[in-house]
Amino acid sequence: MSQNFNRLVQVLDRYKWKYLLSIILLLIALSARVLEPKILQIAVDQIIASKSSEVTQAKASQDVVAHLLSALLPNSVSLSTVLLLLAVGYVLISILRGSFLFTAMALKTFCGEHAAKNLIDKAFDKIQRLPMAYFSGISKGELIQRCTGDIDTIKRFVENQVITVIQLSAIFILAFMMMFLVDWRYALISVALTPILFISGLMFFKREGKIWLEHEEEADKLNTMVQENLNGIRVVGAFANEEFEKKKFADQNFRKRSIGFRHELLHAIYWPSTDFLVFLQISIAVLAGGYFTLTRQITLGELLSFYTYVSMVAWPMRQLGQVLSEMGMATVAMGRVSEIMQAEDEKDEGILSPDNLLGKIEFRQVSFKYKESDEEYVLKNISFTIQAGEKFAIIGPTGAGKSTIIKLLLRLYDPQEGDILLDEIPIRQYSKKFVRQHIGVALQKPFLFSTTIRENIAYTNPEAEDTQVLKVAKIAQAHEMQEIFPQGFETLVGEKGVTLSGGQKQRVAMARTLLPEPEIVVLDDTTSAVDTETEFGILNALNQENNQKTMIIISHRVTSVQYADEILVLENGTILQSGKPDELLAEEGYYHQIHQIQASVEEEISKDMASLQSKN
Amino acid sequence: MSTEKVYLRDQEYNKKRALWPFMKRIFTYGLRHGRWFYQLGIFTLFSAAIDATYPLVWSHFIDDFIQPTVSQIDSQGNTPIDWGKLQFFGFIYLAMSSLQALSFSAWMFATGRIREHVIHDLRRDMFEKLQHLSHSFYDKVASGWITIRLTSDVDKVAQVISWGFISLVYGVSMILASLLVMIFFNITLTMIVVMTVPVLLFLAIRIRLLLLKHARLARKLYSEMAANLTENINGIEVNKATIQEVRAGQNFRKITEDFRDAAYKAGYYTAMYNPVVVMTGSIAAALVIYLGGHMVAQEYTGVSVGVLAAFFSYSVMIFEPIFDITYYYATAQDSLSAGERIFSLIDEPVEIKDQNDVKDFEIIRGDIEMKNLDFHYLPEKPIITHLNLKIQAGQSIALVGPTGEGKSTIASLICRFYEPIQGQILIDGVDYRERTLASYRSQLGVIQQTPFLFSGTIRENIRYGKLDANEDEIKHALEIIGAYDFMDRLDEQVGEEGNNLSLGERQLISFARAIIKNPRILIMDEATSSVDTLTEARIQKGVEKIIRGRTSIIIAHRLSTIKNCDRILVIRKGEVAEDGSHEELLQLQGAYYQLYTRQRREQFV
Repeated sequence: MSQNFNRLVQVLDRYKWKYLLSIILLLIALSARVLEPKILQIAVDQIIASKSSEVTQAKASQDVVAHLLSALLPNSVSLSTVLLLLAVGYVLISILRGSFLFTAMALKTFCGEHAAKNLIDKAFDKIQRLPMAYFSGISKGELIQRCTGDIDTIKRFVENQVITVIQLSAIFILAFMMMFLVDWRYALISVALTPILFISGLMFFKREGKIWLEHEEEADKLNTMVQENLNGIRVVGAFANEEFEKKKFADQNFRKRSIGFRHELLHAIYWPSTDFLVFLQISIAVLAGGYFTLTRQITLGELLSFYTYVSMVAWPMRQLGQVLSEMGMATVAMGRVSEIMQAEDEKDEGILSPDNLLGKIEFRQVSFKYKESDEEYVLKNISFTIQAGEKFAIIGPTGAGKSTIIKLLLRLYDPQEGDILLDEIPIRQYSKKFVRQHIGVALQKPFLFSTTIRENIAYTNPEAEDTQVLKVAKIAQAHEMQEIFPQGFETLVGEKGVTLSGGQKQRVAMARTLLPEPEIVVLDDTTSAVDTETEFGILNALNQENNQKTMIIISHRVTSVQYADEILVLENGTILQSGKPDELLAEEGYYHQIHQIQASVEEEISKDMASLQSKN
Repeated sequence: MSTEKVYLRDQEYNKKRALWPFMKRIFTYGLRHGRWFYQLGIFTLFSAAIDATYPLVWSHFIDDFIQPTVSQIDSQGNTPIDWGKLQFFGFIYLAMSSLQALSFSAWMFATGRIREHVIHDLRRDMFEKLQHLSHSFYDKVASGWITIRLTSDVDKVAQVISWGFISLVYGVSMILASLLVMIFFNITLTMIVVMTVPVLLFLAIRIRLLLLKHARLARKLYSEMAANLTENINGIEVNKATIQEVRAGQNFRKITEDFRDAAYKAGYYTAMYNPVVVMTGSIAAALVIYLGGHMVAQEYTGVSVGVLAAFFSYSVMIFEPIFDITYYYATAQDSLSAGERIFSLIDEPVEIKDQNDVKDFEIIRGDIEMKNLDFHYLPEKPIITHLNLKIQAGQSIALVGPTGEGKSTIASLICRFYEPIQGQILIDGVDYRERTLASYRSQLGVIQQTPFLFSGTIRENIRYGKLDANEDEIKHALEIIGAYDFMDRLDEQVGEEGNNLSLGERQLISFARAIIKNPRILIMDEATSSVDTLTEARIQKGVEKIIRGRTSIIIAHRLSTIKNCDRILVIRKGEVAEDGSHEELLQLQGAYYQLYTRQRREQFV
């Protein structure tokens, strides 16, 4: 708790002195505000004094502040001058208060915004530096929530809540002091009910918070429902289930409204009842003030200033409970954000960064699982070698561990056991930067950023020449998109623009991979959503371009892997078969199976051709 | 249906914004809950009146009770205290406080009700409209934008008629009530206070609008920042694999910098708001002290110490309603674009709907005929011109040919996802526009390339095809497609959008879902092309079973899957280039022959 609080102070970092200054300015402004009613008090007392000559009547104000202020007034001048001076004084105090308040508030916003920006920047950089393994322990949605929602909460804490608490407490204390200086008994009566206000505020907002969470849950469910409905809207229409969907939505909409009513009801009880308490407090103070004035213990002017002070002590108290109960959220948020900040960075202890890479890859008895706590290994004691310049294929059913091999090769993860060698040197000895620069991987589920097609292709080098972009686009068969979309490569993709089809995305992602001309090219099922014909275009172009380079192709299609130098059949994390396509064909197994399917297609084509010829 | 998609663009609202029509519209929503609405109005007025009365009571307390008593001194030099009067004022204060609390509670309750009701009603109206909008609408609008309309936009607009509206009613009535009380006392002092009102309003609104401008910009930049962050977290693997982590951070900093500056600007004007109004207002308070003090000292008629105190209170209190009114103005301004988005959605014309007095389809046989059909998404890009096509009930038809030539469009037209721009589509000899949409779609089975499942169990997803299906029907549907292993897994959760299942499994469930209602016409758009070879082989068996006995339209890339169809149509530029059985088309040695023989691997060596 206190640790989190310290962290919250650390968030301010180099803005903490400015922040402190803003608090001091705020306190000065509030002190000025507390002086304002004194002006009226002195004015009234002066008027009354001037009106009645009887000395008994004019019991001068005794408190220090009024004394000091009165002392500022020149002696033996006319009432008119006094009033003028008081009026000018009032304006001056207001200006002092206003300008200090403005500076304080602008300054704290400045600190809050700068600190929050630095925090989110740090969190962003940190996340980019985290090892991939970190992401298997936390959902990406959760990370996003921490960087947005939680950092907002922290910002609110620094920028608003702390300031509000200081403001409210200071007003309370200062106004109370003012009253106390005049008459301590009267002052105590004037704050008698404020503890109740404060405590009921605290208690209420604890409870309110719970209902609010319930309310948010129902609202979230409603939003999820809308999103799902919109994503599947074409299915809804196809099945003519509009009425069913409306009913489903109406039920949830009703639930959300009911809990909303409950939440509003809570407020409709709390605020008026505390309002009543505030007014009761003011009434008590007025009546007591009347009594004190009548018994000559305070002056009429003092009574008037008390009237304002009572408001100053009563109103803030019920707000204070609200702010304090909400402040707890900030420490929780801080705890969640620091959890990310304290995670260990991805290490890059390797130093090797040779001038060239031949492209020989060897896996030696590699075993791997994503989480230490997982029981089963994803890869189980895998060994194989890819010679430099070889076209190597990995096939096998979904979940066999094909993509995992690539992730290990890129050192997104490191295996628990065994070694991976690159040009006969353990891959750990290379810098990760080198490895990733020289191994280009196009992933099966391509992730595109919501910018233009061109910017996606040139992601690794925004300054790339148009000719370069076009060249890789041609290899990936993505150049046709220039004609398909009215704005060609400048077309925005994703939520901001067009939705590309799966195959189009895969081709753009492949062009992105090829742009830096990697020494080793890996296609991780990158052509699964591309038709066979286009796929062949891609493979042919790749072969021409990268004849000497090592290529790894992961696929489930015979057509994509049949010309590989070597095929590895992976199932359930172990190597079932490996060898040249012809060798594998001779054995029973996955390759044989998928080959059979393709072969039977071709067989039929041949049959059709034969019968066609015989007919002609 | 994906490749021919119209170019997406966010809907922009550049129309000149009109506050008045928007307010009228949103108030009709409030007035639907008239009881709460009137309760809100009446009790807010009442509350404002009580608040405005406090200084009045206060001045009487001083002038009629304290001041005269203090001036009276009895023989002992003490003041006789009139306890009865003190009790009287105690009673007045207590009564006002209680009334105030009750009234407060009454309007607060009403406001909460209205807020929730309006939110509920707006959401309902939008959602129901969304269910009936046709594909052409969804081609144009990104779903994220619609979600915003149903969430934050609605909250914003509801504010205008609930809490925001309270501020307006309270602010205006408070000012009027105060004026009334003040005029009753003294015109000169009233004028001083009144004079400040327009100046304060002007200043307050100016600052508010500046604030609003920057707050809007900050909001926009915030969502950009959040979007960028989300992308770079979701795409972390790409950033790592391509070593772009540092550059991503640099790009992100540019956005956060802009956001910070905009947010600071908004905060700057927020900070300015209160001090400027208070400082300006203090001139009125100072004038009240000076002039009022004179009046009291010179014993002007009607100006006593109590009146001076009351006017001082008013000159300070008058800020509050001014803040309230400005707040309302800013809220309304700020919700204007949200309101436009909401109401433009509610008013969006439904392109495909039942015409007046059309009958339901009886059980159809499944004859389909296209007569002189014209269709385009964009007028400058015609997709189909003068298409004539007859499909007999029970026939299986394959549409083949390159992407973007109109295959999917033909399928969508048959589904009535779009309607012909010229010409007709006849089902059993009747134009389908002369029958109800629901009665047609309920006899239609559609299977799409990427199966979309709703979160829930496998059973619920299969039943989606026929909401009242019983257990036997579900089992029967699974039997038909040969997916026996799902029978024991019916209670399994499919996860969000079916993510717990493999693509192949999802596709099989979508088959069962389509088949369970025993549709007369079946449409399959690339139903097997996104799954792996072994799964495809497995699904293919299911396909053959389900097309039996119904009119089926099948779009496929891999021709091996459709060669047994009754008729194969090669679609080129929206026209039927070739039409016939597999054997017939091979004989032709035309486009189909080319496509078919190209499946051989040797082709690519």
